[in-house]
Amino acid sequence: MSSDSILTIKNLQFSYGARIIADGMDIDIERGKITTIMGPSGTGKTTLLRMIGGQVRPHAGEVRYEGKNIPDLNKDALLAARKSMGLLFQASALFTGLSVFDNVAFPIREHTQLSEQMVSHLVLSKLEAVGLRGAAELMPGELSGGMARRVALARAIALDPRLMMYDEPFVGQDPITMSVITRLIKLLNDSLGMTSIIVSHDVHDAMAISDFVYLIAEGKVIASGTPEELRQSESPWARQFLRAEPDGPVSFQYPATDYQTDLFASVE
Amino acid sequence: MYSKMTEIAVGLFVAAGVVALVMLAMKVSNLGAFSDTEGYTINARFENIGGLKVRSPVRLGGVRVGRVNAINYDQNRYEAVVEMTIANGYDRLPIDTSANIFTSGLLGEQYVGLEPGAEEEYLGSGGVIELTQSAIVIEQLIGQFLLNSAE
Amino acid sequence: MIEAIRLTGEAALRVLARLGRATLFISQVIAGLPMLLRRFSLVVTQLYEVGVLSIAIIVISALAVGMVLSLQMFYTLRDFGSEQILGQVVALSLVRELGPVLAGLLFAGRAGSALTAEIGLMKATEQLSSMEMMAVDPIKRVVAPRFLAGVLSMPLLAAMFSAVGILGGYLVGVGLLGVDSGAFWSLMQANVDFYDDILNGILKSVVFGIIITWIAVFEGYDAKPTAEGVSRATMRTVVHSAFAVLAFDFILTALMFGGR
Repeated sequence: MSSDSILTIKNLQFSYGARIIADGMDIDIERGKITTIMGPSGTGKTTLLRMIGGQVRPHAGEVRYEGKNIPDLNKDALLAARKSMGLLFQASALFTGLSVFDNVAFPIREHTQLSEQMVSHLVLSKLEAVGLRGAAELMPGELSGGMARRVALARAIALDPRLMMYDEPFVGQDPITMSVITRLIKLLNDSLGMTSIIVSHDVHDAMAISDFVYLIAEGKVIASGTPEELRQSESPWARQFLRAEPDGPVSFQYPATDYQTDLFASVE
Repeated sequence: MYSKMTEIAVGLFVAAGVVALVMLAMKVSNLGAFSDTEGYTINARFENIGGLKVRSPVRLGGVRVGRVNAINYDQNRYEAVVEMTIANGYDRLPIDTSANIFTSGLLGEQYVGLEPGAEEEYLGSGGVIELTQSAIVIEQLIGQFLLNSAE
Repeated sequence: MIEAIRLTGEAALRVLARLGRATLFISQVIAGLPMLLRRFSLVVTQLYEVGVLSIAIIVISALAVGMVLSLQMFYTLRDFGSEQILGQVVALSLVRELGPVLAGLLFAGRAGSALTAEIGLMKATEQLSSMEMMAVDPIKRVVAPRFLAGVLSMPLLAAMFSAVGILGGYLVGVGLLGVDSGAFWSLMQANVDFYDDILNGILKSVVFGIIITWIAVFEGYDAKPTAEGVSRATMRTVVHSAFAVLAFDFILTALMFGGR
């Protein structure tokens, strides 16, 4: 445990029926750093972010954010905690009925009593930070996927959160947008003094900007360390994942009955 | 977030809804024509009121002057008691005014028709009309007609 | 056999659970209503979406219904020589029954389905979820203003339906078929009671407004967050609202007009 951690997850348990998402997971996020949580798709990384945000209750374990255990908070305290968090959804989740400007202004208008002039000032500065000030009057439907994600990012940082979470920020982006977003995450983290958590299965871009990496599979942390430490790791999981080998501890085959049994069962 | 046009459209919507309500109240219903509060009450006794109902009109020379307020049956005298509210403007009904129950048209609604008498005194609130003629009940008429033609 | 009983029981439990969820949901929505007093602009926007955009279909349908009603009634009434009571017949049918019920059915089809689809899509595209993460309660911010706008719009639309329907009846009855204009209005006024007929009709439309909007926002909020889930929820809103309107119309009619 680091002395200056913003978020500590201890012995986390969660499952959707038979599908295990977390089975005694321990994660520690250090303040001011970029931490990446990596794992094969379908391991419930998004659910993990939702548990940090308090939208999903873990079955057991602690999610301690700035000293408060999120699952224990009542509604008001949870809302207060969320005000200092930002979450960039994989689907961007822009409000389709509002313009780009109004989307970014939404959290500001909801949580502050600022004058319209101040709101406009703030919104334009956030849009400028993601390089889309010129798109303020567009509607979300008119944006490309990459632009929509940047607008969503501007909206997520509108109230200067202390903890910023990114859910698969690199998925489905062209290489240029990908590097733009990578740079933005790094830039925002350093210039605004935020702490960042990236959930991803993209090895290279995430590793490039991360200070610390957790590798998870089957509900457990199977390797952790700085990117450099992980590359040197002898763990078979880490090797398979980081070198993108098709077979290893993570099987190519979805669990099934014996192939031959299946084949002959249909003949009978 | 929303424009002036939206505000105006919603304003028009609410105004149109209120206009529709006012039209229903004033033009369609009896609220505009007559209300129970502004009037005085008189009673009339009938042997048979036929199809007269509460809220049936009361007419004086064909002009609507009031409406039936309540209908009761007096068990002591075996008569129906019809309580009517007459608008305050028509306060000079002589005490020997007579009341009949008429039908507008052959199958239309029934109403109380008042016929003013000649006395100098007027009916006040709670006054009773003594001269009444019951409703013509069509079944009785037909029965009498059949009886007569059979003879 | 036992299997059949088990399945029936399961289905019954599912229906009960849904009803329970819907009730808890609406209580949360109602708890969010006072906040709207300070931010009435949210309701104004929704009054536009729910109310103003429904006017066209309400007015056109009402005109058509009033005209047809007048035409049909006229020939029947003429056989008895009492075509003067046309105004009364048209007005009473519209004010007591057709106004609230038809306006309710049209409202469910136009506004109810749109509400369900909108809220369902916001759920499917994680807009509601992201709102939660911005520490904004979507029930208060998204659902409550829509619910209030629906409940406020319905009686206004029903009143418009009745009024326009009567005008349509007047156009055909007096303008086309030659019923005396004076008799049309005066017999209507003599036989339509403000409290018994008009207020009861409005009361009906208020009840319908609450039920339809409740069903619509709940179905949207409870929809499976997929394209198929949203389209099913939209379909359910229209079907369930229609059943609910007809069932409650029967109950309310029995309560209001049954006593005579």
